[in-house]
Amino acid sequence: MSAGRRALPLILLALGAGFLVLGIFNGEIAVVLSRAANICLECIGIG
Amino acid sequence: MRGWIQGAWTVVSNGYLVGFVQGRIWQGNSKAVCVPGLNCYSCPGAWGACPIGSLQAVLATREIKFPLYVTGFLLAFGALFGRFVCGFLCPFGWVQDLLYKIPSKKIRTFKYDRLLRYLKYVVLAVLVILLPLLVKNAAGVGLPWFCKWVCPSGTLFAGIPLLLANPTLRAVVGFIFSWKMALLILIMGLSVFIYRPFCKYLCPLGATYALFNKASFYRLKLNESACTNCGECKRACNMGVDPTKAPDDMECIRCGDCVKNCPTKALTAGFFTGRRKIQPKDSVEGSEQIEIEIEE
Repeated sequence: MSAGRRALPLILLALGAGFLVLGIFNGEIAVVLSRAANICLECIGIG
Repeated sequence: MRGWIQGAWTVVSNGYLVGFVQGRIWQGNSKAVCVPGLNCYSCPGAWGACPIGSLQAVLATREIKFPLYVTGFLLAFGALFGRFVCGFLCPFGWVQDLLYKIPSKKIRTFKYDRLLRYLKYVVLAVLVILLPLLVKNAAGVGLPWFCKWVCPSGTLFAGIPLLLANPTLRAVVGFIFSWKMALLILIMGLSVFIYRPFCKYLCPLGATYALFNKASFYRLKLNESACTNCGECKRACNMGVDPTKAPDDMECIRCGDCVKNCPTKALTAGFFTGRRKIQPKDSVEGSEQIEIEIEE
């Protein structure tokens, strides 16, 4: 296995962590929380 | 053992029992954190958020152009586990596993089996990404199309318990709920005969994690020097994968059945971080004791 291939999971994990932090600063956490903390009528087949 | 882990994870991640009794959902801050599996955030017991529901929610907003936060979770879970999440950490996957245990004639494959597996990527692209992103109402807000029209996990873990416990919600049930119930019954019925039909053909979260199977820390490895090509692993695989040809197949849910059934212990599953040497315990009797990097 090449070194690049071996490093890929680590690169993806670091990218994921970076996206998470950027998303928090972007205000997305509030969108997810407001959606998840209220009953989603579409999810249960009503909306 | 896997069944117990799946069951324990389902119970732990949906442990807000008061919600089931009172017909309401947990509203604390943990709901901002995505769980790895397809676990509806409107399940009365859910502590966390479904990544697919969250992805649609963010894409459906007017303000946010790219869903960094949810993509971050998907990248992290994908890089760590790949489709191990499907095999061990998905409540709806567990339900399908239980249904498949019901004694009946099993259909291992059929004519369009392989072709139909691409359908889940279409579901991911169209219902989860494109429609919530592009189809907006006058206020600029879109809909969670997958949740609304397809998700059987939402119907089973959220719709049914909420409607049973909440008469106000029961009073407004209409066509969409009937459609989703019909779909749920169809998928659950098929699960008795076909192993995990939802995961194979429809699940957008499975499609997402499948993209990471070749690049996740949790992997399946084949020691070719120990493999006798007996075919036991392929016969044991309910997802239709041949681990000797493709241990990183996108359809592999890392259930470990092939590892368990390999008579020569040529297959191993676990977190691989780089160069790994074959230790004497990995080798079979009579085979050469060598130290090499395992190639795929």
